[in-house]
Amino acid sequence: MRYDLVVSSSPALDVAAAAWRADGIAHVPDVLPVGLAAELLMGLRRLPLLPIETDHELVWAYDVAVPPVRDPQLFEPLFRLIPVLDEVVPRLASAIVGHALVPHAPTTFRVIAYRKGSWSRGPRDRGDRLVACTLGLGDDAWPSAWGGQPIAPVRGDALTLIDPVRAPEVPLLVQHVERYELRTLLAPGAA
Amino acid sequence: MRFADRWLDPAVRAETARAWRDRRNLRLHDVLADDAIATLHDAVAALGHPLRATTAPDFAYQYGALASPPEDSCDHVWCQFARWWWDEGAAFVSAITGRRARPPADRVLMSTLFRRGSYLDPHNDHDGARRVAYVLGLTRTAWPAEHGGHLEFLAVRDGAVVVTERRAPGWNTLDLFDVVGTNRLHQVPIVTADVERRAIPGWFY
Repeated sequence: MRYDLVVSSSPALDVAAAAWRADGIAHVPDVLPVGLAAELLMGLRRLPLLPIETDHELVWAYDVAVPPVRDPQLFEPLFRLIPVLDEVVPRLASAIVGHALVPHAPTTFRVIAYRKGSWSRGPRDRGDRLVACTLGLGDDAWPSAWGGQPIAPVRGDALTLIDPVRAPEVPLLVQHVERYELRTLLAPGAA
Repeated sequence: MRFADRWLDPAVRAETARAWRDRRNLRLHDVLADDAIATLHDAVAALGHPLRATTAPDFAYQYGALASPPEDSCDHVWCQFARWWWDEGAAFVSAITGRRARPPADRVLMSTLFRRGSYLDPHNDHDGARRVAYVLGLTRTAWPAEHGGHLEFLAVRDGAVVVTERRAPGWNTLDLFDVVGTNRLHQVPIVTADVERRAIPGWFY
């Protein structure tokens, strides 16, 4: 599986680390196992997301907590996602950022949807030294003039690390299209 | 609460009623007394306006709003205004439009707050019971139409939707328009700037 690659030897991580140092944002492609983003999108887009408005963003959101004990009645792809979020992503992020990072709230994540009227100046309501992680779901494309995408569009199953205090703006989305991503936070900690 | 003194003049009301008969779509200016509109604005602005939103393919909108009926024992400016509006306001609108104007059965009054990202997609307000739509403007600032948030009346011509009239957010203005038929299409385009459009919109029945 691609996310089991030895991260320290990847040229993509060297590029990401340089981007992080320069701009506080870094992308890592192909983080999810093939097909998992599509599976997640099918299930998560049916959640009853609610519009959340703060001083720095307006997005649709739903907080998901995955139980620690596997329940066959629940949406199975969630149980394949959590090891990625809680183990692979922190390992990748630690290599890119240059210090150890751990999940801020293990086994949980926030589903974010950008719909008409959504915009973001980053998840700035969190404490210092946290790193925001987003995983894109889906590859729907639309003209950049419609907004709803950062300057470097979030591709399906790509990981984006964001320094909240340097987060790039996601311009106001002005058309009836939608884009989903998952968001978690990482905190400094022992590897 | 009270209307501005000019509206006490029967000649002014008669002239406005004539204008209504011509178009059934008006904007009135300087509606409330200066102290009344300022008091109402300040009281409403201090209240929370939680976000309301729906998405396409349903009729879509997004804005902050509060909505409640005036409780008999409530002495808040919001309640005072709501009681007054559903009584003297209804009588005023009846006099202008020549139609009986009744409050909604639940007497719920709504205040809206449009900020960056807020919008109201095209619709005609028609439900078979509403007679006159109103928008009491509580917006002190002005901005160009390119930043959105203006009230736009629409028509379909040669298969294309066109704006037939555009009204900027107003201060102490009252927009009145007939919604008995299905042709009063209107919208509020998405607000793209960091501005605030405040209004008290609704319908008489």
